[in-house]
Amino acid sequence: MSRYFFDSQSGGDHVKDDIGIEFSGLSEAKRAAQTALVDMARDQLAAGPLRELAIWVRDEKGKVVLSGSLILHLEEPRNAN
Amino acid sequence: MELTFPDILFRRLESIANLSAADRRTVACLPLDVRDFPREQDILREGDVPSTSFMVLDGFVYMYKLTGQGSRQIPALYIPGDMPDLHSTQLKVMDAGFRSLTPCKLGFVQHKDIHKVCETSYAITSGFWRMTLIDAAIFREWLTNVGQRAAYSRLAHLICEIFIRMRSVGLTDGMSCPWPFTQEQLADSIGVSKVHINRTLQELRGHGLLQLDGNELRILDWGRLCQEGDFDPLYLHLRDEAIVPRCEEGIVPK
Repeated sequence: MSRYFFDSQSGGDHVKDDIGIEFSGLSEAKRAAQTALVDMARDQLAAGPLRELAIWVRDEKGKVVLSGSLILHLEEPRNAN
Repeated sequence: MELTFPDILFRRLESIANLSAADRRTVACLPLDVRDFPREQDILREGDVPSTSFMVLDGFVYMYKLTGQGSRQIPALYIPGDMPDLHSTQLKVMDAGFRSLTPCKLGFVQHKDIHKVCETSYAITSGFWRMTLIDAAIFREWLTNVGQRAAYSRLAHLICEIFIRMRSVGLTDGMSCPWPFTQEQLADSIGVSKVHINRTLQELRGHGLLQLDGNELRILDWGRLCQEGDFDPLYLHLRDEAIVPRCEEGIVPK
């Protein structure tokens, strides 16, 4: 098991993880980061004006081993009345 | 602090019902089979047909359900004084499992002995009945929590609930209480991922609402925590409203 740290950014809100979570390896941590982005989207992209979320995964040595983002794109067609 | 039978059951029953001296004597005579469980061990599995109900004397217990795909939901957490499967006195087959969340001391009572004390006293029957009704009220609140609130609010709500329930049986110390839950258990209780729980806990800490020190939770701003958690303790149906701290309690001067 290795400990991974998940830092995240939503709007001006940056949360640095100083607790971390243990996973069997990077592929499991990667799946967890993916689910976390979707969870964050429900809380933070669903209602407000925010359009982008980002997450970084650090290993125990502090090296960033994965980064991810989620962008919500909404557009009205130009010929809309 | 460790409590023993019958004190812990008295505390729970008397937090929600009125017992006479005779009722207390009757409850104290319930024959109890006390057993120790290490953490994360099955107490009952779905499909079991128990002939006893258990009360939590020390430690924490959780209920769990598994989906066909193997995902786990924790629909309820139990603290000392609770009788998690009291409904098995009426519903014969367990429709959910129970596991120890921490090392636990549990007291098992034969259903026939529970039926016997209920026949002798309406107040005891009423107290036990009320315990199961309040469990149902907590389920309604959890369903609302999981279905309608954002993770930050859900977790704040759960923290408020556990704190008030612990306080109602005298297991808090000022604005501190034991907090043995793992990120995984919290994640399965409020229906978000482990990473999101981790993030949300650190947000609550970062906003100065609470402190987590090992297995201890310390609430730093009760009023704001209740507000963020949209928490109203009405659904816990506690007799003594003074159990709920005043808003200004637990604010640590900056």
